[in-house]
Amino acid sequence: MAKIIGIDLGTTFSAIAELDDLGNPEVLSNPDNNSKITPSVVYIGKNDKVFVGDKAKDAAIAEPNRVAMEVKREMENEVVFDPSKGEFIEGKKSSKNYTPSQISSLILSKLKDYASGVKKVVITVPAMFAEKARSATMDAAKLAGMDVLELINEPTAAILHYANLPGVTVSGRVLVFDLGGGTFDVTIAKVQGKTVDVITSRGDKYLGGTDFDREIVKILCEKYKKEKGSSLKETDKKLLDIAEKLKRVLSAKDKASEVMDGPKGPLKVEITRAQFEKSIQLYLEKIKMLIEETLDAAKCNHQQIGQTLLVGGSTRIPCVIELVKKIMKKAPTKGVNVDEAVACGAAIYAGLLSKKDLNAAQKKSLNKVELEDVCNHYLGTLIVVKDEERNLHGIANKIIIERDTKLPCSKTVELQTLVDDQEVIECSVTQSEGPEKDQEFVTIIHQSDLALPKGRPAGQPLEVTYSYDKSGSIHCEFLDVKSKKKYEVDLKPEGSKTIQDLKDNLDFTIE
Amino acid sequence: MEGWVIWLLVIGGIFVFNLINKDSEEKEYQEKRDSISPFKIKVTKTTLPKDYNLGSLPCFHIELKGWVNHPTDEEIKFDLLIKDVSEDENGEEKLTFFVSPQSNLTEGTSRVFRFSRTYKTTPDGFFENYITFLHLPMQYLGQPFKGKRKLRFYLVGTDVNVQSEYGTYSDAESQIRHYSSKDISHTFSEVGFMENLLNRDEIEKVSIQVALAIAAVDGNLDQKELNEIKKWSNLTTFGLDEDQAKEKKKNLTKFIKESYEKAKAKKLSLSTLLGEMNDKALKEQKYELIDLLLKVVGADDTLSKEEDKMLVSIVKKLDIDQNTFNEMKNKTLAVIGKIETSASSESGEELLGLSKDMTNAEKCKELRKLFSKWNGQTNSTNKKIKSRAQEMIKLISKLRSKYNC
Repeated sequence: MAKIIGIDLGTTFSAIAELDDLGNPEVLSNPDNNSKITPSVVYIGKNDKVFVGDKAKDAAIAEPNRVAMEVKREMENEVVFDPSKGEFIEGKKSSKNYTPSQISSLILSKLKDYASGVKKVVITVPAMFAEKARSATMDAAKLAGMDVLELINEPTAAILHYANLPGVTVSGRVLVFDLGGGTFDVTIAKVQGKTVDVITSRGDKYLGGTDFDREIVKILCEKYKKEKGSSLKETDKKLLDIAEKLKRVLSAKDKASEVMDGPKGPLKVEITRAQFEKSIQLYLEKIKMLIEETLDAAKCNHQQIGQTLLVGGSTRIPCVIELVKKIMKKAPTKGVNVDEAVACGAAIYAGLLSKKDLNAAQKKSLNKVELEDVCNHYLGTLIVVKDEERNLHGIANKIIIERDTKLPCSKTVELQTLVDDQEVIECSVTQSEGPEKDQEFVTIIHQSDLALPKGRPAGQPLEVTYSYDKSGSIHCEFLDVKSKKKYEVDLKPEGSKTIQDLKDNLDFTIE
Repeated sequence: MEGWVIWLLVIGGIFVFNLINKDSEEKEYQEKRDSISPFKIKVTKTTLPKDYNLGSLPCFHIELKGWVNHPTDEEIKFDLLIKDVSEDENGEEKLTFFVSPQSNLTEGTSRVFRFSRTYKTTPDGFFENYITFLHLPMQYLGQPFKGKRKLRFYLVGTDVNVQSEYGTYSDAESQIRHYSSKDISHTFSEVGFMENLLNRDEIEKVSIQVALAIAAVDGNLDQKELNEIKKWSNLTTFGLDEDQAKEKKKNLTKFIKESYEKAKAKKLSLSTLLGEMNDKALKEQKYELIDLLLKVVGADDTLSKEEDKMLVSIVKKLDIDQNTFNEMKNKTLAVIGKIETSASSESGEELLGLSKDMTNAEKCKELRKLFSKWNGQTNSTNKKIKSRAQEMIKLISKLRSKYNC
């Protein structure tokens, strides 16, 4: 029988969970060290040797340039990992560098080895992941030899897990606060028993534990300079490692110290919790604003939130917990494993999507589980409009599907041709986090032309219809009403490339 | 026999009664016809009725009554034409038509304001009382001149197929069947299109000087800033023939050179220049100037504190809509490499449009709005926009901490 698998492909740590015979999710351990979480770190040796996880982290000490970290943050960017520089750079793919999808596929391949017979999976992504990043994640799975049933948003997976915990009865609005290694998501959902109805999500793809580590690195560098009069390289991966260790200690103690090496010799540096908290103040303020924004979008206040659920390793930081308490005016709910909840939720969702593969006990366990999700971005098209205030015609973004619209949904807007004898219309599909009018502030995720019949006056009716289904597929139709000519496109997060295109120089043995 | 006579008398009586009655109806109708006034227009100033669902816009209510008959056709067309007939300094009327800048009510390419309506009629057709011809929102009128003006409203009744050209009729005597006009006094606050046509060159020069003034305000008027001004000046020759364009470019080059020296020596008076803009420029020309200024301040990839301060002050003095300006400014800010203003929270407030008279609560509300705007861009695929958004979020966070939001 096929395994029911969910994967949390994180920025700093990843985890894989399986639905056991009774329908309960269980996180699988790395057979090498019995750890349930695997660092999302990849070492690519000169001799094509690849290490993933803790071994890769260890390798960073000797050969830091050959270690790729935080690849998730690069998933939507046109970059490649260059082992000669030790970073992601803008440039073309060659036999000497690696795309983010290729690096991610190595992490997925490693996780795949924790269980036998892993084929169909659900992978989690941040709620704010754009189409391009979702597509790149699908490419990575394809390369790792996995069939992705669907991608699911991380906070949604976490809440699904929470609603399914034995002995937990939830009724009302729940806020999921997901602060991981690299991303932050906050989601509000209505939960009734095992039915999860997502209302809205907000987040930031560049806010997480690694950002806090970098702030500690800055403090370390300042202290070293002050004491030794010499500068350290802030991007040094060894320093980041020390910073992470210090951060972990500071979550439990008021101060922490480490000895670090530098050009002017070693130095023992001590950092207090107060210093650390001051250094991440801007991030905390950002988190606060994102929570406020999410409450506004869900049209509710803190009093109307029944429970707050903390997910992600960075929610262990005391000042983060305090901040949540301060905003929500009550302590967050305990009892959820912050590192495992997302992978477990993904496994439950995988079970929901493969009901025919479930045994009787699993079916019974998932019997009442239901999930309703929303569109996490605004989807629109570019049109020409008149700015009445400036008395000027210009290109503007016309929103077709509003953010937070319940899925599945279908919306049509009526437009018209602009000029006499117009022979073509540009069919563009845009995505944005805000209700942007300006084309500079939206991402064009698809663009094509529709040829129109010749010799017609301006003002011919056009209809643009977008349909968004639960699996994340967007069907876009641009229709010239009178001639019935139309342009249609399906935008699916199914990966954009063939296995051959993706594989390229990637044929490594993973250890 | 007697019965037969009685019947005859009854029938005869009815006939005579009807005859007398008909005579009186005809007389009554004739009296009514005689009382119908000749075709007449009435114009009053009011606000747009609620059923238009456009809010309470000020408008002209144009009504008509009287004879609208046509000897042969079943329909008659009425054209509404509006002229500015104010007297000039010599006491002569300036006959200039109004145009319809915000609608398609144009006549050929001459852009004369004309609105037509067709009515069913007969050889005896008339409207005994006033009926509404049109509620015309005042903002739909493109006035030739600003200030207090004398407007003449014409309603001209013609055959359905008769078209006026440039506000006149080729054979007025035979084509015009009914005609009435009404003069109304009205004050326009916006610059008119005719005076703008006359002042266009002057406005362009004022714009160039304002741009040079802002480029020089930080004490460093560089080539990139100058290039933006030159590029903009070049565009003003669009539509001119080759010789005219050449001549204009030559003049503007000379003008820019002279103004450059004045700007460097800080001899350009901004208040005078902006006064002229307010006096002579159309609203869209003011926005064109703001667009130019944003290009100039962004040309050297740095928005200095002085530039930002001057920009804010210009926007205020030109009475530019703050939301529209913010949208324009955000577009420029998104791609500028360095914003000096964001370094200190005080000048950061100016950059974000927070004024000193705002309460802390208002500032917090505005900062939240700005956060929503910029946070979405921290995930932009455009590197410049992304990095700018991250900086703006830092500034917003800093100010939020300051105000305990």
